[in-house]
Amino acid sequence: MAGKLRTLRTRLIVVALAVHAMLLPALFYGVTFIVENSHRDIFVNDVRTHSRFLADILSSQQILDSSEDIIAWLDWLDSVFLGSNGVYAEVQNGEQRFFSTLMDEAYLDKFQEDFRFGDHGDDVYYLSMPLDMPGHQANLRLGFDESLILEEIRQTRMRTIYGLSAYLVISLLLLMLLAVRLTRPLRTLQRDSRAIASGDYDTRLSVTTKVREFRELAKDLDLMRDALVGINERLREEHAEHLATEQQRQTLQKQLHHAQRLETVGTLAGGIAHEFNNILVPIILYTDLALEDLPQESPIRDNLERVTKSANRAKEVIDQILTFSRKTVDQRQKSSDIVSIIKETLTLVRALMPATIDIQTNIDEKCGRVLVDATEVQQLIMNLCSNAFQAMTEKGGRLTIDVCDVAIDGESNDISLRLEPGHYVRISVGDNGKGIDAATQERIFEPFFTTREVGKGTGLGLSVVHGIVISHGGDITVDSTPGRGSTFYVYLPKTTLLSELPVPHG
Amino acid sequence: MISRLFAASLILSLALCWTLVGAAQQVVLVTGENSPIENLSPLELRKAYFGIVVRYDDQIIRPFRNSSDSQLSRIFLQTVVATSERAYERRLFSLTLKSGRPRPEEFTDQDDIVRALRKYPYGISYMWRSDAERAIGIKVIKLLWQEN
Repeated sequence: MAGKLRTLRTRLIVVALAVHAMLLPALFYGVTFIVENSHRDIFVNDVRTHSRFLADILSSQQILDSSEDIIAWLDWLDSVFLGSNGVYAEVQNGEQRFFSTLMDEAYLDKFQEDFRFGDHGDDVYYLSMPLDMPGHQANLRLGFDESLILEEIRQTRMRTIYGLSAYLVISLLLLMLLAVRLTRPLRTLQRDSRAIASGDYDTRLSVTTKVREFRELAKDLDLMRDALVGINERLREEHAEHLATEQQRQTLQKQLHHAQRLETVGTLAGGIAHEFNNILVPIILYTDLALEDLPQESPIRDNLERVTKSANRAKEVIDQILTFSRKTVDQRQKSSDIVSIIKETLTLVRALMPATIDIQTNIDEKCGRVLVDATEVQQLIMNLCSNAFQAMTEKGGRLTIDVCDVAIDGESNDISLRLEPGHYVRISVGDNGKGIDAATQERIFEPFFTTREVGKGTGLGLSVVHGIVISHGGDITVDSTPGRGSTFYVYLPKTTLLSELPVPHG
Repeated sequence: MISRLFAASLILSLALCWTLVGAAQQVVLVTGENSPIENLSPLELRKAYFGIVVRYDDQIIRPFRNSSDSQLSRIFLQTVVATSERAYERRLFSLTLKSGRPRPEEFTDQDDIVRALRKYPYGISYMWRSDAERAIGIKVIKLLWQEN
């Protein structure tokens, strides 16, 4: 209720009512006062003038001596009843009193001289005019009916009331119409503003009205809306940019930590492997020398062969560790057709994989050449395929190998890639196995990290892959969803042959 | 002796009371004691008070309005000029604007009227008969109105 009273429409009507309540009574009393006074003044003026005129005429008749004179006088007295609202006409000459023959007897002896309209409250205006007749004390006494004027005043008063009531009703109706027309554009602006505030930025602020101020207000508000929407959009973009930057920063920081950890582990493992290698070399060498000196039938030969076998196996592990920890470009790398190397490797993979594994390949034949150590690339693919197979051992699945040419521009690509802008061959090895959780992905390239049971893996497969990729100037990423499978992406930088270089002009 | 004096006083008082209570009020037209004006017709009187030039012995009559008593003014308006107050004022106003003639001089103090009448021989005014009879230096010309 209080809220409705505070609306512009209600306030306009209340104010108008209050103004009318104050002004209309004053107007009514002012109008009726003027009208009443005017009527009364005209009446008094008329009867006085009429009486004076008649008194002057009668005075000119001089003296009342004969019956003819009296008849003439009475005729003049009768004229009072013919031409106006006269009710009383008498000539008083000393003790003599002559009345008009047309006068109602009810008015006899009612004469009380009035000097103002309404005196004595008898609805008759009585007045006396002395007749100018030397030697006579004669007076003309007349009476005029006031009730007609009072009735006219009453009617005027009623007409004024009707007129003012009609004015009040019409003005209130017009005011309500005006209030509606004034508040409608405001309501439209309010509705549209709320729509904008709730996020509907396509809403335009416009009103259909002939009131210039409202049109200008809507125009100004719409300009403000444009400015606010622009600011909002900019803030949103900046916020999104900030979030992306922050996410990128966190990713890069995580990658840095990961790389640092891998480097630390690689350095440590490489140092240990190198020492072990120094130890193993004499073991293998002297064991071989001892075997050469032993006769074939010697029972010691079998033990020494086992020593050699174990030592060689240990050397393979150490070689793998050294592969992981290697940082420099291997001298054995040479520009090779990567597609041929991959196809050769896949022939071997198909031979090793059981029938439950469906191998699908999608190889771009025109990927070009890559500076690689062919053996290491084969090892890389074998390790990735082996891992994929391990992920699908239980139920079988689909192994996909894709090879394509990609361009890294440093902006639009995956920020996790630590690659210089340029052209790369991307080798994707995917499976639809059990997938890898986020915690495992964090440590998947660390040496000796494995999720398999003890004795079922060395934990060196992916760390060797990582080492090979890094030593080739490339990078490796993994995209995996637990329960849906994993895909490893290997990026190797392409090489350009002299024959492929553009010929300089001039 | 004392009883005679008392009786005389009583008779005098009764006579005075009779005069005050029993005598009907009258309004009379007055002029200066030495004025040559003997009579004016009602029409001449109206003309004079409407600002129209009225001559008596080739002298212009100067009408003075007596506004010392409201009842006297009402009797004057009703009996002498025979108009309403507003109509009379409008008429005088119109006369001043149209002809540039001065409106009748108006006095609120009756003594001032008496002095004016004594000063101007052709000056006329009206007052209660009782006041006129008491005033010195003026005379009554005619009866204008008598209480019924």
